[in-house]
Amino acid sequence: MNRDEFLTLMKQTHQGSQTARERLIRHYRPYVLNTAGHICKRYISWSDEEFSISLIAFNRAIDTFEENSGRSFLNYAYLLIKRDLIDYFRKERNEQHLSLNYSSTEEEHHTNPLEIEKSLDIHEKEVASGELVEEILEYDQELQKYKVSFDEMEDCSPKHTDTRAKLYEVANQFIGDSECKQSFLVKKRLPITLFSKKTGYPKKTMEKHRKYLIALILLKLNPQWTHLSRFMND
Amino acid sequence: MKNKTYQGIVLKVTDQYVVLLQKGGTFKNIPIDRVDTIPMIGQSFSYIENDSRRNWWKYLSIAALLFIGILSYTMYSSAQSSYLLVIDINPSIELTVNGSDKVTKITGLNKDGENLLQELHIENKNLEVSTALSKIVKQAEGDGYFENNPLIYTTIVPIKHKARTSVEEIDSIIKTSLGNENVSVVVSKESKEKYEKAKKEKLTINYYKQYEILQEQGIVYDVEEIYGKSLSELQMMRSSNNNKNAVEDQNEHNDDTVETVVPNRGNSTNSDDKQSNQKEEAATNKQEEKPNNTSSNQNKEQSNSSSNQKDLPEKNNNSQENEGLKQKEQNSKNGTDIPSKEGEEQMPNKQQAPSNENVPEKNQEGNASNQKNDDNPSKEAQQNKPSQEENQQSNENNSGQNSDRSNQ
Repeated sequence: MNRDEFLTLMKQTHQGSQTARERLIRHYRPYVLNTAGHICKRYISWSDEEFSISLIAFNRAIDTFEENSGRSFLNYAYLLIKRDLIDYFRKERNEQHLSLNYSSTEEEHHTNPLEIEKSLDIHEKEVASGELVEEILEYDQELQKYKVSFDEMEDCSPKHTDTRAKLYEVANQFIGDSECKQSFLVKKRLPITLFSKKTGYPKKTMEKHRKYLIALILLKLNPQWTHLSRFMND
Repeated sequence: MKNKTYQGIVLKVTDQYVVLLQKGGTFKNIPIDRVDTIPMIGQSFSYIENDSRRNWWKYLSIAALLFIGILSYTMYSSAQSSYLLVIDINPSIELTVNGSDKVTKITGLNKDGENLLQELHIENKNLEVSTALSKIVKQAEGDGYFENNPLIYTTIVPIKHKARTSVEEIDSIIKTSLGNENVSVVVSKESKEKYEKAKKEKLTINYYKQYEILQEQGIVYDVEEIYGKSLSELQMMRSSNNNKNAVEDQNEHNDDTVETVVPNRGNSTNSDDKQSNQKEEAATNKQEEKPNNTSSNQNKEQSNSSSNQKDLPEKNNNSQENEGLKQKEQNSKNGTDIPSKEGEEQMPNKQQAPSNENVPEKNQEGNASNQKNDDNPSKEAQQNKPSQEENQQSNENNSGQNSDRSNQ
């Protein structure tokens, strides 16, 4: 989701389009989940109460986001989510339903508005590359189309540098071949047989590193993900 | 152990992992419970792999290795040969037995042994010791090996320290498989050192033991003399030698009685020898001291002779009695000579005395003369009364019987 797309969706949402809102929420849901987990300092699944609070806060962020406020949308959403969660924690504590994972020191730490601002600054630095987050979210969504997720990647990514270099070459070759590329984009599958027929590259090796290869090809097909590409090619 | 550091950007946080994308394009899944804070997506993140997990694997693998080691050791030790069984009938066979009493190897140590094994076809089968033994014994029986030398000589050589099978066990196994066959069985235990020595001399351990004994007794001086002889032949050599020795030295008998190797024959002769030997000596001593027939002497002699009579075999006894009778007759004939010397009061004694007195004396003399290779028969004759010279011949017969026995 690039900036233009995001802005049009935003506009549509503001005009009352439920589908546009839906798309935004769907797109940023992993981010919301991750933010909630980050603030709660524990993993939050999307059936947790913290997640629904975060999601409501995010929804409000969509409603109230002003493009010219000087903040990035993700930053703004983060701020709202964090405030809502802190409110939630405080209320929980007053009602003696103190979360086990929530320590009082941390709570005090967050009660100070100045400190909240400070932590937000730190956060801002951390997510200075808000674009990187965007890239990652998009990358993840692209990969999901090919039924690949990041957490499977470790097992099928080659350990040796020379194998990795070889796979880079293969990916480049693959993109160069329009027929293969077409098949890849349409069928959302890696046309191993077709490719190995054309290049003579062993099927077995390709099959072994199939997921990694898909990830590489997708990365190369989306050169707009500059941060990620830089990271990969380092 | 080196702690490994992973550095990269967070791609995704799942309920199990934090997925890192490292520089160079490698992915790394970090278990979420090893991370104290949930990182934000896109955040750069570094993770030092604490090795507690790896340690765990390490210890597990060491434990597994140890376990495998122990397991394989026990397997190995049960498969390892624990003792050797060397059987000499005349076919010599060596059985290698493992810890669980299974025969792992059978080798024929001589030609007969190999032939026997070929007939049996049991070389490579995993047999129990008892079945293998009985098969061998029965086959040997069937082939008639016991006809010439009815002797089974078996030695157990423990290889490991804890060889379980006892001498008695093997002995009973062999004996039961023999059935009614009249064969003597000897089972003994020997150290491995002796086995090695025997191997050096190219003898089986059973032969080697015989050889050692023979050498000690001075019958055999070289191993060469042993080759080609059967065990029972060696046994014969030994027992015949023992009889020779019996006359010369009593002490050597002790060896014999300990080793109950030879059939009964040998034993009985030995004991006889001893007895007669003792008597001989005692009697000859007396003769030398008091050659004359005094009344006190007669009494002593009487008691002596009576004890002799008890000890000596019946046959001997009978002959003595006969001689006693003869002597009485002679005495009555020659009566006039003796009473004149000894005095009339002693007549009743005399009728008994000379008979009993003379017999043992003559006996001893006969033996003694035998012993001394008839050095001084004339001297002995002089020591006795002239009237008794006639008896000497009959007594010599008697002593001849005695010496015959001792020579058996």
